[in-house]
Amino acid sequence: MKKLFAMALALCLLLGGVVVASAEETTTLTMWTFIAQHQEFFEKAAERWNSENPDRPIAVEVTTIGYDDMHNKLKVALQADEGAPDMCDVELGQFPNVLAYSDKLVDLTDALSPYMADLVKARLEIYAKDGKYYGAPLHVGAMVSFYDVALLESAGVNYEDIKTRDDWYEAGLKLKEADPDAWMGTVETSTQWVASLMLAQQGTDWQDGESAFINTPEVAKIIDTQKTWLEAGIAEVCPGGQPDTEEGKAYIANNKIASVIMPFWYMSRFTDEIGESCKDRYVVAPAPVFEEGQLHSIGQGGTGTVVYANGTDPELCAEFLAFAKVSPEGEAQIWEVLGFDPCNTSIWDDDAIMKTDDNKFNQYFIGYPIDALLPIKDEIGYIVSTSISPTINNYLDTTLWNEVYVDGVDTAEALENAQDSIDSDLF
Amino acid sequence: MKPTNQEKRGNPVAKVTLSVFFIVLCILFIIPLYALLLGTFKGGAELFVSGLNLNPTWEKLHLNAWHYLFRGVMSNGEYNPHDYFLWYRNSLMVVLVQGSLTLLISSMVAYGFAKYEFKGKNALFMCVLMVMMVPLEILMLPMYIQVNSMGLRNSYAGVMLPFLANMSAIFFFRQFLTNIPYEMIEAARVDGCTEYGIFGRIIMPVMKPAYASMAVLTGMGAWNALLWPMLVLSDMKKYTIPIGLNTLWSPYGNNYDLMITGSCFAILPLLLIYLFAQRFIVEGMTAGAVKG
Amino acid sequence: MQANSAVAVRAPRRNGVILLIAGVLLLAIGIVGLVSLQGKSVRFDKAYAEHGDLSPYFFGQLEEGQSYSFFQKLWLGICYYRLWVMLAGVALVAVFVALNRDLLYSQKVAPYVFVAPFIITFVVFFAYPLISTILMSFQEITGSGTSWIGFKNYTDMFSNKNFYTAVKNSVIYMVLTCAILIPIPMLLAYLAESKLSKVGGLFKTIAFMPVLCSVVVAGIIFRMMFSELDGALMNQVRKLLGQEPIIWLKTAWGSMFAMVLLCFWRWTGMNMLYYMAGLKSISNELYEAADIDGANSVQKFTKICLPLLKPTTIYVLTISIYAGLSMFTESYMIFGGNNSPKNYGLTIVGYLYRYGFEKVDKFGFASAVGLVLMLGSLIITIIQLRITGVIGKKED
Repeated sequence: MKKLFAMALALCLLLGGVVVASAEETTTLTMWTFIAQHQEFFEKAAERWNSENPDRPIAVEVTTIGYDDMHNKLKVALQADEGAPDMCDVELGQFPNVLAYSDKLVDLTDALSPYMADLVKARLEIYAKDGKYYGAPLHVGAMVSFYDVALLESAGVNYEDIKTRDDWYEAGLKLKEADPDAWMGTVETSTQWVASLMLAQQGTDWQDGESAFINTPEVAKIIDTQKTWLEAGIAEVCPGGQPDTEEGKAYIANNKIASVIMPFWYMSRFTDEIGESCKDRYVVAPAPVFEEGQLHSIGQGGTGTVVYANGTDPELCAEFLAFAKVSPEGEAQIWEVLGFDPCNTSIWDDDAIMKTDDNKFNQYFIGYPIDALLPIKDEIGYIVSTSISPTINNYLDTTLWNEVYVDGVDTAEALENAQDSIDSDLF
Repeated sequence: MKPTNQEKRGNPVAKVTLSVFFIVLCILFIIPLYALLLGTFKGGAELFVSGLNLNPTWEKLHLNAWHYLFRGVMSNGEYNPHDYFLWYRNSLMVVLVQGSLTLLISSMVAYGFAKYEFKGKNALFMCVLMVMMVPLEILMLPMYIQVNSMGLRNSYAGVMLPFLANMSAIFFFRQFLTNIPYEMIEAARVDGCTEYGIFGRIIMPVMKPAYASMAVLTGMGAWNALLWPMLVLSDMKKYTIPIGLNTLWSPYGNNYDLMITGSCFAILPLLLIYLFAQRFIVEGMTAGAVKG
Repeated sequence: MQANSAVAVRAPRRNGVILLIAGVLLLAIGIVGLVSLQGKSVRFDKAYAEHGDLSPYFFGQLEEGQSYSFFQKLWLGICYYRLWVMLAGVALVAVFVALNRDLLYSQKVAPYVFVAPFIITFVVFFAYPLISTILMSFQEITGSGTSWIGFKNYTDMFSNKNFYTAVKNSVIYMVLTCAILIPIPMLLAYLAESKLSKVGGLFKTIAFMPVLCSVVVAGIIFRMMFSELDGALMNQVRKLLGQEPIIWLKTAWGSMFAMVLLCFWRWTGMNMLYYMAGLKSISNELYEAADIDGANSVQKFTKICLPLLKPTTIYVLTISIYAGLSMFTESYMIFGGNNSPKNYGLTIVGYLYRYGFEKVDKFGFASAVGLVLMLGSLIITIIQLRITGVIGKKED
């Protein structure tokens, strides 16, 4: 019987157990991310913070969780208003879902304001709601072209001559003639880096937050353009569905792809994962446009870090994030450690930061990658991201691109289906 | 493939045919595991470039992935530890605690259902059946809120508590117990045993085979559970193996070495327990299982 | 009730019933306090610790500085000290039990003690969540609040294309797994148990190894086996058969094949085990009698095993139907998430998960999906039990 008592007591203790936080001098802040490298970045940032703010020491406990799992857990935690970390990295595509709980997030506008003038606005807007900024940006993610100079030269093409998609197409034909095994580029089926760029270049968007615009001439133009590449044999559907997959990277490592059009952060995939076989072959350049005068780039991918309003010391979190992510020192780290295009443009033309020769990105690529961005600094647009984006992206990634590029479904028919399906999912 | 058409045992043709048939089946069933094991010697990066297959290019095999699993990766002159064995320990702990508590509590409940008549018994037992029929995913959100409000978020108690009275275990134990004659219990009562004494001294020993088979099943369930622990636990140091492994499969980090060796290594404890307890499992199943 | 039944049996001394009543009352108050804290407790405790003022957390609608009545203060106090209130309740009950030891040991009370853990689990982790699921299915739940919207969730669901895709996939999967995972393990168990071949015993062990693999591990293996690379195992098999490699997981049949194969691989051993247990309980005399009658193996299987294994088959069928309809993790692992090409891998639970956990403001909708799934699997199971003749008979 004593055992029973003990069990009953233990059960009650368990049931009513309350977490009691012990006060310490060092403020421990919890953080979730879905990118392992960010863990290191934030831990280093915390060290720098501590050396500059010895009166307010912090410890950042970073937990890495899988992409889907982390965002789902965060949403559930915000919904229940319990269990959310003090800070959390949120991927761009998921941001609108998290913004639905903006009353439980901290408005970072004040914390970001000292640097506001230098930040790429297009990037901040994505993380904003009702004029308040809820996410601390990590990078611009500007779309650029990575050209394999050696491969292009072997076909007698100078990458600097490629300005428009027609130039790109002609170069592809020349390349194909010179080397039948080579490809000018790839077509994505599981994401829309290039498609979004093409859409923005035509001055439109996938949606306006209320309804989706899929069955439009602009989208049809995107599909038809890429279909002509496939038909001409100058491009192939990318293995893995897009370059940022294991299959895609292995494919690029074979040195048969003359151009990879991806966001600027794809540089780190080259240095860290594709490796030696592409070293000193690629150059970073502005991406081609349909017609001269169109936007050269849009910011894509990336994460905005949010602060939980009911967490430990939200003000401190906001200050720390501004310090770690958007201050010039923080941004220099982002470039050094992660190889991302910093949001804070004040350091873009600071050659002491961006053009150091011991930087692994400067060593890997021909020339200085930042040179590709300087001329298009003011021509970086964005694609809006709203609460209906995930629904649209999901359909495009899993169905539409496969239908038109792999199964060969007629463009008009596929677009009509897409519009129907997406509309029926938006309720 | 038909069974032998000879009635006498030991027909050589039938024997050989059947043996060959089973050997082929054994090979087919082992292929995925073998491919994984082979993959661990090729390394994660290689697997994603050339695919998981059975071609052993012997000269290319190496132990790097296993080395990484046990030592961590070398950087800046020191080994960077990873959390895998922490997860492993957590999983073992969860399996041990959840498994034994589930067996104890579920068998208690089953005993109450099987050997007593009391008001509301049938209604309550219908509840057991009902719970068995409802997918956990439906209830996960309200359950999560419930566990939160008890302050059990990010604790193993939160992971385990809802499943200690495990419905299928109760069902199974009850089936098993209905085969035990009432005379045994009555005799114990006459001897002056208390109701709880009967359970502890008479019933529990009799239930050993049933415990053995359920131990494997509940242990398996606890070792392999993914969705619920993933929701409750949010501290990486508290992860269990399935959550940890799932985290490693991310396009943003290069953790495939750890993922494949970790997957391989995660099968080990259950396999050992199974090989050890195989005999009891079938025995327990036979005695307890479904009799309609 | 407990006290009453005890009176009926042995009419024991009832020392300090007042303690029992008080204890149960305190427990009840504590539990109500606990439940009313739904989703607030951590913030609540923090606020109390920091400010000693709970107003914004409980009576948010009241004006700043408004004073509370005695009862409101009392209630706040109880909520804060809910743990101690419950402990005090338990202590009182414990004292009562200690004073009336014979009551605890009576045959009338013992079964309630035995099933108490189930009752608690059922109420706390099942009945309460189920009721709130039912309520939520008629609500729209957003970050800023909830509102009643009648049957809108249900009408939305039945007019959504993907819902039918999910139902179709789940039903096909369920039918296929039932069709494969019942006859084959049954036959294999029969052959392995026939002792004709020693390899049968080895196969039993090997077939059980996949059972021990978690879905995560199995999913990792199968995702790589079915990858689109030319060198991936399944594409190599195609090459062996003289066919071109394909992107398995981008075709409807390939996706279903991968999921069913995974299920077959993982569960054959388990179902064999059920059948072996069933076979063991068939007495040897029956076989011997059949031998005397000159029956061959096939006849013995169809005439003796099949009918006598019926209870096992019903059990396996029941759990297979349920497991088939509620499959999710397998698809989640094979497709590396809940989004599969053209929703080839979308199941009902996956659909529920998408709205409950991946999208925002759709908990109500997801609850409706869950309830429909629950009703669906209950109905199918009941029909199946009817057909197989289980329902209608008394158990045991």
